[in-house]
Amino acid sequence: MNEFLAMNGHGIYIWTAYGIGFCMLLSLTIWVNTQFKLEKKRIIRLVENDVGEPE
Amino acid sequence: MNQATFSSRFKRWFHQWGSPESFFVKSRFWEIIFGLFGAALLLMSWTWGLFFAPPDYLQGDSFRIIYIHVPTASAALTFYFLMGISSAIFLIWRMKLADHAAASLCIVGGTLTTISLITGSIWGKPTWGTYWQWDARLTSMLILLLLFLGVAMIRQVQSNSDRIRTVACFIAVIGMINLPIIKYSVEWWNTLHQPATLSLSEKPKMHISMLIPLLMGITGMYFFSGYLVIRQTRYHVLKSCRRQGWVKRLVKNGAL
Amino acid sequence: MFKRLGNVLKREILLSSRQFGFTAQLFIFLVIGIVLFAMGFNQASDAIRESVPALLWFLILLATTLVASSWFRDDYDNGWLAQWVMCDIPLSLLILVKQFFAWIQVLVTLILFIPLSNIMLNIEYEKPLLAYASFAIGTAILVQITSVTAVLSLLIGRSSVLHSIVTLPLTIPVLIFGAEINRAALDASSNANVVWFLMAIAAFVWSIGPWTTATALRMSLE
Repeated sequence: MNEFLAMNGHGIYIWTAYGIGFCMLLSLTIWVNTQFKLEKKRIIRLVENDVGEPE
Repeated sequence: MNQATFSSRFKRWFHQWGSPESFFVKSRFWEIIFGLFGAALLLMSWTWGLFFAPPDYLQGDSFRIIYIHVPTASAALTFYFLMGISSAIFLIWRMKLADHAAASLCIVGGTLTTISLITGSIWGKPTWGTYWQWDARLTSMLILLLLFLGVAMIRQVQSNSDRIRTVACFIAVIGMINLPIIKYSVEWWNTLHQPATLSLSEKPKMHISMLIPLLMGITGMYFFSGYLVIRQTRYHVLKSCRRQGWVKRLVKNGAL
Repeated sequence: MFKRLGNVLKREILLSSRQFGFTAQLFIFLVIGIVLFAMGFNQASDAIRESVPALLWFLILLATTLVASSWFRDDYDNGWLAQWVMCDIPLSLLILVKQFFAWIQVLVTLILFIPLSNIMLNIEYEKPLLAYASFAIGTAILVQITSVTAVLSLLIGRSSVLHSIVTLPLTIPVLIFGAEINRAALDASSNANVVWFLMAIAAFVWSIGPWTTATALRMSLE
């Protein structure tokens, strides 16, 4: 296993590259989804206690 | 089908997708498909690339970074052009949805460019011996990032103003026209990078067992980042239509 | 129509001949840039000579972008631009006049500045004509690019840093080709064919630039 992780001495570069790339993609996904969900909640609250203000 | 019915059909299709409501409802299905398909392809590509693909005879194992570097770079470049096109649509037809799409493409494209720059420079260390080389492709990628950042920063000034939207879209279009000139001049300035690994017109030089995961990675990256763009666009649509009737109707039907 | 165009021309000529402030600002900025740059160097080393083309072009790029954000400001504030949009002369033609005079002003500044910089940095061009041609063509491109973004920055208001951030990446080709031509002018042995590229870009930019700026202006006055 260790031998595989080392990848003939290039392991550190490969794993950092994949790690950084994966984390950035993941955090973008999480950010986009959180924003969407927060907006959804806000709208649901807005509709529930509808204060009038017709469109 | 004759010309007239085709163009009228296209117009109908365009208007249907262009209205915020029908976009929001229709895109839900495609968003899920894009996200799942893209994530699956990406995971397959990376597993294949990391565990099963044979090492390159010249670069050894470090070439495996290609499966994250090339897909992000390719998607970033495409997204810049898509941003320019949707900005132009916004400027010409004043279609709000196109502006929302441009804003989303800017964020996602900027992140993809950053990823490809970081992975590229990490790849440079074992291959060239330095993290950064002023070679043509790295440099033009950096300039692409600067262009993305410029547009993003304009949008930051005031997110909900029509003037700012116009400026951001205009800059995106100018950048799109200028990009080929910039790319050409940078390439002329310095060419040290290896020639393109993949091109549509030439027979690929890579071995098939390395090529398939790369193609899978590129497709997967397009689909997955497409999912992110659609999701972000839907968010913008929701935000700008907060008080409109159709949103309320969706909430009351429990379909939001 | 031609009479009115003549009046516009007359006004621009008068304005640009009286606006010493613009030329002086640009000139002083460039001189300060050179002085500060030279002070960062070791007097004994020859490295400063090597970096002259890059330095000159970088300074010109920076100065033009900084100054450009105010080109349309006065005319915008006093309603002159709004009148232009409503006038029966094509807006792009009027913009072209304005850009031409802006270019002349930059050129005048450079004609004063380049000989001074040659003395200060102790350089001598083997082909002075080539160097001057490159400055003229390069600034022509810069004027077009910066005037589009200057009109757009009227919409954003205040932030001139943002204007530079947006404009500078677009001017990279000018920097690359301009510095290369300058190097060729310093050293007669090297090849100066790049000047044709710069001319091609200039022709392209001057053919679509006025129209683009006019469109941006119309949008900003909507």
